[in-house]
Parts: sequence; structure tokens; C-alpha cells
Amino acid sequence: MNSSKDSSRDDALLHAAIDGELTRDERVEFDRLLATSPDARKRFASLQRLTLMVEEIGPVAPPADLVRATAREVSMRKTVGVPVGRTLQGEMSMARKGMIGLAAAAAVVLVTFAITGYPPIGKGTEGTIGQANRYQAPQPQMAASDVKLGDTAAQQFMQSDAFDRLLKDDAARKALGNAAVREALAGDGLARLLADDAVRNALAGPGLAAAMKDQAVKNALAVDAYTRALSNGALAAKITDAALLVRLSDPAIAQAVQDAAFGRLIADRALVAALQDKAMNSDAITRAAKDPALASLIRNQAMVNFLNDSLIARAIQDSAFVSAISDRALAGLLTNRGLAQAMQQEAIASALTKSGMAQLFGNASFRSALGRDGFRQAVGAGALQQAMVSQAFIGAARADGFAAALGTPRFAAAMGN
Amino acid sequence: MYLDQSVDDAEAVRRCLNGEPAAFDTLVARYQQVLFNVAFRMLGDYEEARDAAQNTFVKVYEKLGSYDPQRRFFSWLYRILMNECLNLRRRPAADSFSGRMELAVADRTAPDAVEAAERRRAVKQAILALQPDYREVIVLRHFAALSYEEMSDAIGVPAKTVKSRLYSARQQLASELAAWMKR
Repeated sequence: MNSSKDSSRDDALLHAAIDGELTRDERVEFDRLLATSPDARKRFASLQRLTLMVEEIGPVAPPADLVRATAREVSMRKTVGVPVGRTLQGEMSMARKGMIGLAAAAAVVLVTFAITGYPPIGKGTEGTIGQANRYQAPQPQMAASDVKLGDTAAQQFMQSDAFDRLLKDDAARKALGNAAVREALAGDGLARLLADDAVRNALAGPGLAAAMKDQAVKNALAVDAYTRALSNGALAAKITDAALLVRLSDPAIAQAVQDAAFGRLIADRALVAALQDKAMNSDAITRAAKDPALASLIRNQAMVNFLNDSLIARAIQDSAFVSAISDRALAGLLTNRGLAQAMQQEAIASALTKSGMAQLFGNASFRSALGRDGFRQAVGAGALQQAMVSQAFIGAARADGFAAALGTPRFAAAMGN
Repeated sequence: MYLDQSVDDAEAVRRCLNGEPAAFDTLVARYQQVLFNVAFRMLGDYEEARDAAQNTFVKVYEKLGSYDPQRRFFSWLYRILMNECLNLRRRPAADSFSGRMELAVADRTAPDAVEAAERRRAVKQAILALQPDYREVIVLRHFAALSYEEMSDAIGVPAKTVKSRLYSARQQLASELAAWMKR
């Protein structure tokens, strides 16, 4: 029987393993413990279950306006607590002012334009008349009653450099001449992106105008998370792709792109290409994105590193792999810290990109085995990680009988030895 | 949830103090997710968490000149956030609006979705029921992905204490959630 000291040491190892804090020596000790102690295996499985339940509740997206509201608050602060000579407030740029007021004000102005027609490009908009005068000048196309959300915000926007640039920009003018574009821009979120060159250029593209006639795209543009995603350079460059817009219009995807880690993923050129791949346009990726376990997974740094690997990015374009990641059992497995760590190993990552392995992930029996505790423990123990690399294993695992055996406690124990 | 490692906090602070306020936006963008989530899990209320996060950023801005670049920026930020959470804490809010909405939506969906929503609600309540020093290690570990060393620095206790609190917190959570863990 274990002494109290031994038991305490065992607990420390189990918790450190769960937290990914094992040293190399402790890892050896931990593997030995799991291989020899059924009680430790049971307690570790229980800890894994608890961790999964806790992390399942997942991160919450911060309020869409938190950054903007904070910027507004900060801009009103004087230099409290800042040493003399380190002025923060005084350097407030027009671009910054534009950002603060743009979200609300752009909506006001653009809705107004949509109602009353686009204002003529006159001297004011070409900069020969001051910005304040421009605002005060008669503009028959815009009646005061058309401004719904507050004249202060509108004034701030219209006096900003961002607005000035917008009016002088051929691409923006061309885009704003399109009724469908104006309608879509009436949403709060996208408007503030008008200051971005890539977005403005994209707005002029015929693809976007066509896409904006699609109700699903219009709905997507109404979601602030989506428009924030568009501020991602790589994605903004793809804004003219109607198919991509429709794919991203799914609320689950829109929710996912709010996450910074996912944002970095989606910025990956290979992944953007993958998103446009026919395989990714299947329902599989949508189902996968809706899975809480997978949602949790994409926020795991180890998995982000793993998915950022170019080899894996290629694997994601494989339809069998896409089909596999939509499977709940696999998504559950991937949240296993042991496997997440394993996936950072080059050998495992390479193995997963082999076509045979991708096919293996498409095997229902194999995926079922992946969901069993015994197999998860075996993966965490390390020996199986090495086996998974071999073609012999991949070949054998395709057999239903072998796949079923993978989930048994006996197999887990054997792998731990 | 995880932090963008490409951002150099000390450099952003330096630029800010040198009259480049846009650099502060970088810090807000980098920390808003983790700060809001820590506040939300500590307070259990979305609006209070929003206030705590925003107030923290404003105070950080005001006190930027006193930041010691030798310290981890997050640790400094975290201490201010915890003070804000303490100031805002008015009620347990275990039966939060978002939780009730989640169940209301789940009620109209498949049985397993209802069960999952109930399970998540039970987990949230169990976390909120933990004493504050246990709750904060669970939150920092599972929702901010901090290492033992980073937690030690942020909370201001030895790593050994962090581990001990994590162990006790998990024991308590496992006890509270025993029925769910058997399913």
C-alpha cells in the first residue's frame, strides 16, 4: 500500500501532467505510475474528465465594443500618472478620432447616403474647403431628419481624415454608388473598416457587390464578430470572394473567428486556401465548428501550433481529414493534453499528414476507438505515439477488430509498458 | 484566450509613454480577451466583467508611467483587475442571465444539448462557489492558460502554493460535480 507521502507525490504528478508541467524526469515517473497503478490511472482519467468539463464551458467573447469603448474612455483622460514630457492625450491623431466615432457615425452617414443618395464630389470633398466648413455647407442630399443616431458622432466622423480620404477614394466612391453595398454598410461593424485600404479596394470589386445581394452574406455582415474578422488582413484580401463570404456567414464560424487564436489560424495563407477548398465547403466543417469540444480545441495553444504547421494545413485540405475532424469522438480526443503535446512532435505531425493516416481518421471504428479512455491513456503514455508513425500500424488499424482493441484497458496497459 | 506572443509589452508601453497613444490599443487588443474572461469567470456576470475589464484598462493607462518593465505586464494588469473585481462584486450571480438564456435555448433543442447546457451551468456554478483564492487558480490555469510560474507571479504567492490551491480547488470541484463526472 502506498504511504501518504507516495500518494501525495502521485497526485502532484497527475496534476502536473494535466497542466502540462511535467519535467522530462517526471514524465518518465508519470508513465511508470500509470503503467503500474490502476488506481493512478483511474484518478488520472477522473482528472482528465474534470478538466474537459471545466474547459468545455470555454472562453467567452468579450463585448464587441470593449476595445472601442476603452479607447473612448482613454481618449478623455488627461495625462494622469504620466510623467511630464510623456504626453499621451495630446498626440491624439485624426485617424484615432476617426476610429472612435466611425462605428456609430459611419452607420449614420451611410444609411443617410442610402436614403438620400451619395453627395456630389465638390470642392469640399477635394480639400479646398476646411473640414468644418464642409460639414456646415448645404448638402441637399442629406436632411437633418435622416440622421438617426446622433449628430455629434456624425460630425466627428465627417470632420475626420478618414471620412475625407473616403470621399476622395475612387474605389470607395465606386463601391458606395452600389445600392447593395450601401445597404450592407449600414451595419455598425463594417463601416469602421472603411479606413482600411484593403477593405476599400475590396469594396470596389464586383464580387463583393454580387455577394452582398445574398441574404446570408447580409446577415453575416450584421454580425460584429464577422466584420472584426474582416479587419484581419489576409481575410480582408479575400473579401471579394463570394463563396468565402457565404461560408463565413454561418453563425458558428462567425463566432469562431472572434477568437484570437482562430484569427491567427485563419490568417494563415494555407488555411485561407483550405477554406476555399471544395472539401471545406462541405457541411463537415460547419458541424465541426459547432462542436464545443472542437471550439475548445482551437483555443488550445498546442493545437494552434499544431494546426499552423504547414504539413497539417495541407492535411486539412484532405476531405477524409475534414470528415474526421467533424467527428465528436475525435474532437474530444484532440482536447486531450497528452495528444495535444504529442501532436507537437514532428514525427506525429508528419504521420498525420500521410494519406494513409488521413484515411485512417476517416475510419469510423478507428475514430470510435479514439474516443475511449484506454486509447487516450495509451496516447498520453507515449509508446503509441511512436507506433502511430509506422505504416504497419496505419494498415492494421484499418481493420475493425484492431480498432476496437485500441480502446481496451489491456491495450492501454500494454502501451504503457 | 491565449496571448499574442508577437507583442512586446515593454516596447508598447515605452512607445505609449513616448507619445504614441496608438500603442496602447495594441495592449488593449492583446489583453482584452484574457482580461475579460478572467473577470467573467471570477464575477460570473457579463456586464460586471465588462466594467471590470474596461476600468482596468483605463487605470492601467493612467498609471502607465509607474509600470516597472522588469515585471510581467500581465501580472501588473491582473492585480489591478482583481481590485476592480473586488470593487464590483455585489452578488454571486450564479444564476446569470447568460446561463438562463443558455438553458432556455437548450430547452428547445435536442435532449443531449439540454444535458450539455445543464452540465456547463453546473460547472460554472461550481467554479463560482469556490473560495476566491481557489477560483482564481482555476480561472488562470484553465481560462488564461498561465503556467504555475506565471500564476505565482500574478497572484504573488510561491508556485508551491499555486499547486496546492489547484489541487484543493479541483478536489472541491470534483466533489461538487461528482454526479456529472459519473455520466
